[in-house]
Amino acid sequence: MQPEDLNWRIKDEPGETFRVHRSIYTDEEIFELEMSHIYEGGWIYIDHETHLQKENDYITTFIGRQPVIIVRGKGDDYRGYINACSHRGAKVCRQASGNAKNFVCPYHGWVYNSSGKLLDIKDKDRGGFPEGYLDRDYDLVPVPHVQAHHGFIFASLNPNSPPLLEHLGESARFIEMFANESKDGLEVLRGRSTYTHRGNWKMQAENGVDGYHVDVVHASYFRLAAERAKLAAAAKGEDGVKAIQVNLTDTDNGNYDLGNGHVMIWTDIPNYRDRALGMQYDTLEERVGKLEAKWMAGRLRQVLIYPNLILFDGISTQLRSWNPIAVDKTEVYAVCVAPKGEPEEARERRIRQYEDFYGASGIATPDDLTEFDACQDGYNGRLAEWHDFDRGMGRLHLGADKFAEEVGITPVSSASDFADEALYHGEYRHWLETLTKGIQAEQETAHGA
Amino acid sequence: MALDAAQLKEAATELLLEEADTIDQRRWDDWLALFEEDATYYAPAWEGDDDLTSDPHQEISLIFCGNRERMWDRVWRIKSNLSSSLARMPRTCHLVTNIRVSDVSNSALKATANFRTETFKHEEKDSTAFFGRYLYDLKRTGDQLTIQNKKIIVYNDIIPRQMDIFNI
Ligand code: FES
Ligand SMILES: [Fe+2]
Repeated sequence: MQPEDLNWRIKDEPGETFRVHRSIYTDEEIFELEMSHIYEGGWIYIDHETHLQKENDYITTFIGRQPVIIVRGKGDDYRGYINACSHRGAKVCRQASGNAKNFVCPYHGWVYNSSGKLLDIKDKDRGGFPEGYLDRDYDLVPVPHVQAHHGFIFASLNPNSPPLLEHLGESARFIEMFANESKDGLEVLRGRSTYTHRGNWKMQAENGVDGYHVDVVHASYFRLAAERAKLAAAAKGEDGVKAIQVNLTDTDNGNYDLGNGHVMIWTDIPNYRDRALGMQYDTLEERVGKLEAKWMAGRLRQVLIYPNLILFDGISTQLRSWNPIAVDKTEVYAVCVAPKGEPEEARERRIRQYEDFYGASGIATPDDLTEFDACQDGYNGRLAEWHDFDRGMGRLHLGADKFAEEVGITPVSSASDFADEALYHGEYRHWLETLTKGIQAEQETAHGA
Repeated sequence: MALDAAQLKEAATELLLEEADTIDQRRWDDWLALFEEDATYYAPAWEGDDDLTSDPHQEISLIFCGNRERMWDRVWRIKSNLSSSLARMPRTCHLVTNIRVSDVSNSALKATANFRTETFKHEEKDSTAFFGRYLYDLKRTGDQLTIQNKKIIVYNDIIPRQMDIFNI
């Protein structure tokens, strides 16, 4: 595929229209390019440090299609290796997680240390190797970059990736804000949820910052919450969940294109004191100040850290990441994240609100997944080629609005409505740029060779 | 006259199978009525291969209903016609086997069983299944048995699109 085979699929006419050709969700060749140049060609989110606490703690996972071992070294030092033995390629580590000084390959017993260095070849002395064999480099192939920012671990298979903080750009502000909700940082709670859906991964990335679908897709959720509150009031009892409300008419709300594909939506929460963090609003405000407390506890924020993480901080608190399995299949990993050391009552509130909404066993998420699958089916209607992201285009404002200025970020663009779709322009401009550069780099390598 | 051991096992088996039928036949109110008002319904999440969570107040569960009202929430949603994931309600079929009874007292007993639930999804023209283990605390009131607690351990916990009270 050439850059010009890709370009026409994004119609970017500022002030007029922004359209995407639906083949970007269905084309196998484009999917391959995405895997090579987005997932295996740049920074992606790996995990939270909760799962890698001590030296030599490790997890095994995938970067795009490539199996990797991620190891914690001393302090905040992380490293990673392709999980494939230098001997004949067997996965060296089979466990999902653990702590190990050495990895012994289960196939023929080669031994590596946790820095990926080959320590021993079984029966080396009887090897009958050609001359110089033992001088060759048989260490595990390293992952070029593994780095954490406030406990959020990212990695890149591309040696030429920019520094992590440059990649995160303005989105780093919201990672830091989240991490600072307790003076001791965040912890991921035990209890994981993994689910799959029959839709392209980009819908997962779009949906977490889609304010437009909320009241329609989640009608059953919000109606139920209202019903529950009504019944509890009539019985003079307690509403056991105190679900978070979303109201766009009487609140401040908006969205930002944060650059590098990162985008976010935000809105003030009417019943923010029903949130776990809101229950401790006054102490929080004392520690972090008025503005920070407002953003942390009073304002729903959903931030897409491109390409595979969404920070959800509103209905409850979730880290949602994913890995594309095929052009029409995505695997999603969802965990609840919480400020360390929060009071028991708040923790319980957070958990109940989380389970109520989130996860494929929750009351809301399956409705989102159903829509992704329905879109994927719709995209097979090849005669219906395009859709636009024009909602909100008329109020798009380049640079920072007053809320962005207050919180100290300089977004590419700002807009004053949570339900806008123009924020996707940033996502897809980045997508096109990344794939185009990837194709060009491939061609340079091919010509150079 | 109080039930003897064989009759008690028969009654417990009947209750478990009736529960499965109420769900597959979508008799939701009958399903709720099998549970005590303060019953818990608990499907813990896994943390690792052999590491199942066990404290729904500190850890995330796949589903945790701390009383029958939270179970009613799920029923309300199914009946509401407001959820697109339920617009074409899947057909389900619960297979409940390996039923055993233990810890019998005058007021309570425990029952365990294995399950496999097939879910036929119309949109996908395909079915998926969850399987695992049920652990029940049953309450005895005279000859009558009701469900005090139900714990559902789902062994295949990578969820294709949806898990709810009707397909586990
Ligand atoms: S493949 Fe690992 S030792 Fe042979
Ligand atoms: Fe949603």
